[in-house]
Amino acid sequence: MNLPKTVLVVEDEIVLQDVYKLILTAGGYNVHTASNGVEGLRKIKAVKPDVVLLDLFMPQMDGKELLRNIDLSGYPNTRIIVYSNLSDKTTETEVMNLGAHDFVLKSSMTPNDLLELVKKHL
Amino acid sequence: MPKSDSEKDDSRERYQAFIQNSSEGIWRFELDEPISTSLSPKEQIKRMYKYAYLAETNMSTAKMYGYRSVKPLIGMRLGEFLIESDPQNKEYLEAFIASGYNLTQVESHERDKWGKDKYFLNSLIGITEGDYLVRAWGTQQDVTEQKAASQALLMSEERLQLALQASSMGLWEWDVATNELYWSPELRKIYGVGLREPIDFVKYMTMIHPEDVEHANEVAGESMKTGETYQFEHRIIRPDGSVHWLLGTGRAYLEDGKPVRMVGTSMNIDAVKQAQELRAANDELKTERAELLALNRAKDEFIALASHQLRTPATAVKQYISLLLNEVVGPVSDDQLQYLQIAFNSNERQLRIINDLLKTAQIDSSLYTLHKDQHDMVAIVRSAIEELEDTFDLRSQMVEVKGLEKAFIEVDDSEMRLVFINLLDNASKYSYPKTKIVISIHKKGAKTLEISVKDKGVGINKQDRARIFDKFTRVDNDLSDTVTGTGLGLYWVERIVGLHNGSISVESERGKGSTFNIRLPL
Repeated sequence: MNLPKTVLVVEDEIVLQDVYKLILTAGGYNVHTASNGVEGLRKIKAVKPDVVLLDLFMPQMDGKELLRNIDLSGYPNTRIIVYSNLSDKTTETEVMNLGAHDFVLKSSMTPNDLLELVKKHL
Repeated sequence: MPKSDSEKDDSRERYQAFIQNSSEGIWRFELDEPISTSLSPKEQIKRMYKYAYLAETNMSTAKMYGYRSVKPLIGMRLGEFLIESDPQNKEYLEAFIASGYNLTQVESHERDKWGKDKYFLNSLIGITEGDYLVRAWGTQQDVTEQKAASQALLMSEERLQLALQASSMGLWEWDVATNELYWSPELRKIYGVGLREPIDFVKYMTMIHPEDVEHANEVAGESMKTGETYQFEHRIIRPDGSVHWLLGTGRAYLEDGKPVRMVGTSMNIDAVKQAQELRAANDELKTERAELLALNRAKDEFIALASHQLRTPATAVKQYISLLLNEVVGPVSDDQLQYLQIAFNSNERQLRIINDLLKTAQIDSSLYTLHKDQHDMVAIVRSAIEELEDTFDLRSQMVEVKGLEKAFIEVDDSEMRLVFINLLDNASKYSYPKTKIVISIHKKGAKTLEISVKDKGVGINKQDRARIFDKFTRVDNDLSDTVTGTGLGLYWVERIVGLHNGSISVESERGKGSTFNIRLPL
């Protein structure tokens, strides 16, 4: 029996958090949410998600800080997609060097694109 | 009637009393041998030192030489008082002879009991009998102190002159009553005025820089009221027209509260001013640089924040409308679908505009850097064509790539892709359907890669050609009403090509089409 895959959405904008949860749940995923980096870090440890959708601009601990504070070798099955509305190449290079698996411009994605993206990383 | 002895005694007593009580020194020199007045002055002087002795004097004289009584002086030789070797004394005695042995107010240099220098002001008269000088009467005043003071003054004046010369300081003195103005040679040099040129107050004022005249009048006027020293910096205009900075000092001397005389100094401080100005300019530049850096940082932070803040709400709109369009929350009627599609498209357009503005802000930023690597330009061009496939299909336009099959060059591939997407999008937009767009890639010499994008479109007016690369420029032409855009595409193109040290030019003819040529260094 195939257990549903787990996605953690780390996103401080509640309207976006809600809609991503809606889309991914409809897509058959087990969805967890976190509203900042601190909470995100805690949930990664607790849930060990298959995919993390990680926003960059967040209060308390932003996406980059989260990447700096996590030892990714402890989570070999977790893929981290930085999913942000920052689109510059410098940021992209920086987060990829911090261990992210993908860097995507949030505003360019439709719900279907999002499902495709997550599927691609599983 | 002959005087009686008592009368004679009486007169003698009065005479003695007068002499002894006089505050002036009074003396009588007698000669061992009379001196012939026909002898040369030199010989006469020689004999004066040889034969003259003090025969009579008073208490005042004794005191002048450091004695407490007259007695020890009587019989002393002339040379014991007057210093024979001093030329001043030679002059004094020569003058006495030349005057016919009648001289007033002449200075002598003598020595007192302890050998100390003394200066006396003498008035004397020689008594001659026939052609012979037989004795001399005289009075003297002790002017040693005044002499010392005036010598000190002379010395300090000399020192002052030396100091002035050494510091290139000019000196002036103005007699208020006579309006006479004295300028030292150094001051004339400072003002560029000839040594013999007459100078007066009016002329002086015309050389003060017009902007400093008021200040000059103010400080000088204040000193003329108070007698206090002033100091101020001002400019002058020399007769040759050159402007210089001076540091001026001065003070007025008052008598009964009224200025009678003013003195002052001036010094050229061009070097000081230049250094000050350089320092100020340097400080200003530093501040400006710091401000610019801060501004740049603020701008970059703003871009980052704006990217996030402007896109986030539009992203939410996009997601929710998409869910409705996908009928995730229930069926939607055709009319509703149409309106939702319009809302979706409108939101997409807003996102594009945000992207365009952010892209512009990014490449305008001084901190913007290219991510260069070796890439095949042909592949980049083909990828741009692929991106625009739908666009070309829409207008049934053909795109042809000519020239090199591979062209490796160090570029930022995503930025170069953007360059060709923009050029090709323009080529398509401003060409009629079923026309052809040709891209040719070839080497121009050993060190340049040239890529041209040629269309058979509406072309660009000559007067518009210069400004098509400017920000937000949109040119009116036969097709401009049908196309949309922010007028930023060609701005990015030129900027990105420039960041690659390349150049872009355009050839165009109205109605026949345009060709954009990009040259990049290999």
